[in-house]
Amino acid sequence: MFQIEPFRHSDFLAILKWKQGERTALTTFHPGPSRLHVLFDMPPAGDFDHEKQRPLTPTEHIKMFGRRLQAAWGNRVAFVDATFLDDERHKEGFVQHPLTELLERARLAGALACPAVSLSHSDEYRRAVRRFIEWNSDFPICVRVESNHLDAPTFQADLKSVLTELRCEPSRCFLVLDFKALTLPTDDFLEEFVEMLADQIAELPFVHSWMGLERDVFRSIRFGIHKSGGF
Amino acid sequence: MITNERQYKITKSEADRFKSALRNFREIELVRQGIDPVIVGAQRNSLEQQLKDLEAQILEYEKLRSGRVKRLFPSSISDIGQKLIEARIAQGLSQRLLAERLGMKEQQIQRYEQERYLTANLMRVAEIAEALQLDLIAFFESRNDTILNKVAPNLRGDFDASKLPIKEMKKRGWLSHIRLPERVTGPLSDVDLAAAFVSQAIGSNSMHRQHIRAGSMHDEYSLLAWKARVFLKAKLSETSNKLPNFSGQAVVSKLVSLSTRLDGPKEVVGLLRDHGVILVFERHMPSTHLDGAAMLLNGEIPVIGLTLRHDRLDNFWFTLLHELGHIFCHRDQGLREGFFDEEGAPSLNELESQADEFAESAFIPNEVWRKSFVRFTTAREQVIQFAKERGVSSAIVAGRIRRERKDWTLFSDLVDQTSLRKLMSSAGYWED
Repeated sequence: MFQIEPFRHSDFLAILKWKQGERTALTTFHPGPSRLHVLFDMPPAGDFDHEKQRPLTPTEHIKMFGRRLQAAWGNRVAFVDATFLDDERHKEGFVQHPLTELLERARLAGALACPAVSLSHSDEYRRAVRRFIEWNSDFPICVRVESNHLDAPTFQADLKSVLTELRCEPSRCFLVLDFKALTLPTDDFLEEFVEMLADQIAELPFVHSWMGLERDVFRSIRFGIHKSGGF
Repeated sequence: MITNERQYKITKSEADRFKSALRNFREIELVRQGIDPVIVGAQRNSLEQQLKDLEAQILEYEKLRSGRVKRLFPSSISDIGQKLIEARIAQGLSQRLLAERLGMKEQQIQRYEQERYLTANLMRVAEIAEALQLDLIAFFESRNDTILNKVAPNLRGDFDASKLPIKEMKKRGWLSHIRLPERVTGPLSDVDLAAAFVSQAIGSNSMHRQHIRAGSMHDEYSLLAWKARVFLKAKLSETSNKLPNFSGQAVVSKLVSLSTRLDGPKEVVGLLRDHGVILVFERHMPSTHLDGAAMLLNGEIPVIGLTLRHDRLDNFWFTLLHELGHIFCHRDQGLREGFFDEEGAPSLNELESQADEFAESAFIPNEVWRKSFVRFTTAREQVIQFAKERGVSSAIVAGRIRRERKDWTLFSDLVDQTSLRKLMSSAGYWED
């Protein structure tokens, strides 16, 4: 059975690169009161692979994902962002979109990978996410929002539009506000940032419906800023 | 100055155009369209100031034409031509009628007046005065006839020419091609040449009235020499083609759009010129720490001087817009004397704060900026994306973050995308 649990304010989301070091670290992770969720950023193929002692081809990079995910994270939910695989080089040799390939290969290996999608992903990528939603009605997805999305005057409309296009209820989505790298050099900056963020969250569409934004959201925000810059 | 009925009518119609523009100026609508209130306010201010200028010219002409002026006092010999024009207007004589009285062509009088009679010989001036039934009551007073007085008659009082940065001026070749009065003969010292240079460019040594914003020590004489050089360059630019009146309405949005191009700064000179502003570049003088200045040439043509002291895109755009802010907002509040600015120096007075606010909000309205998360990022791609969505240069966004956080190590590659000095040099605007 796959493990899917609702997000709690004390939970922590780690955004990790799909690298051997990160995967090894996950295998040694011991769950505590703050549970860990993971979102993997898939790099493009071509980096040196320590297991094979050579760079992987795009096909190998995708095919080995399922087994490696299972080894590192078992059957817990792992979100996957395959932005860098959304190109012709990685599509070659596959009938389906590379994202779909990753998700299905994880399932075959007994792991549970769910897609992460942002407001900047291509139409084709979004279609792959939509297929996942249609075929897997019980599994969540991750909607990733970056600071430049939040700064866009059309942000609210853009977010609603993505959900409509994906035919996905907010209650199935973990909403991740991903600020990438932040600098809050003084208390004044920190205070201003928290206020802005609180305002932004208060105005979020479906604010009470997201799977990953519970009522006690502000503790999550503070937690996120101090610990990681994301939450 | 208005010298004839035709110019009077043109000026009146120009003033009507400004009045109509002010009547139709919809501040709230513009703010709703997303233009920052600071920019909207500055645009209104600019319109009002230009209207005021035109109305002052009209009033002066009407006052003269009414014949209420009986006595005219030239302040120097070169001022006599101006007074002859005023006398003609005061007597209700057209240029054509005066020409008829003298048996000359109207165009000749027009030409003389255009040149303020500076090219007419003394005999001709006497004839004009006679035709206008003017009595001349004048006297000369002797003064120390030093070389300095001859080469720089308008630099008086406590001006000490030896304090000018003579070595640097000489090094830059400024003292090589100075046109001296005919009566000055014999070899001149570098001090005299430097004084002549300043005198010819500026007209007077109004150092004490300049508005200086500087965080570090500045040398007034170096600043004056730099100002003189900028004025000389501006004069060359002015005479090469007649400039239109300053019209700032559309210029800001065009500048913002140019900022997205790496070669945008090259186009700025022409764009500003088309809107009645002369932009010149001159390296700052040692011990001035100057980034830019805004001034009025001949009391009417806005001039911006930039030093490119920091060879960075963000500095270029911010300083340019800061100086443009002075032109928009402070025409009546010190532009004649000039604003001299060191970027990053604390803004100690309201005028500087206004110009800062103008520059910042021209690119990204303050209201938008205050609510933008990009202010807290250290991710380069977030800055680029934000700039792209706002239609401005990423260097400007990066520069604003650096200024706000006072961290000059951030996004260096974005603010240093190109060498401005090389770019301007290739366009012939910058001398190394």
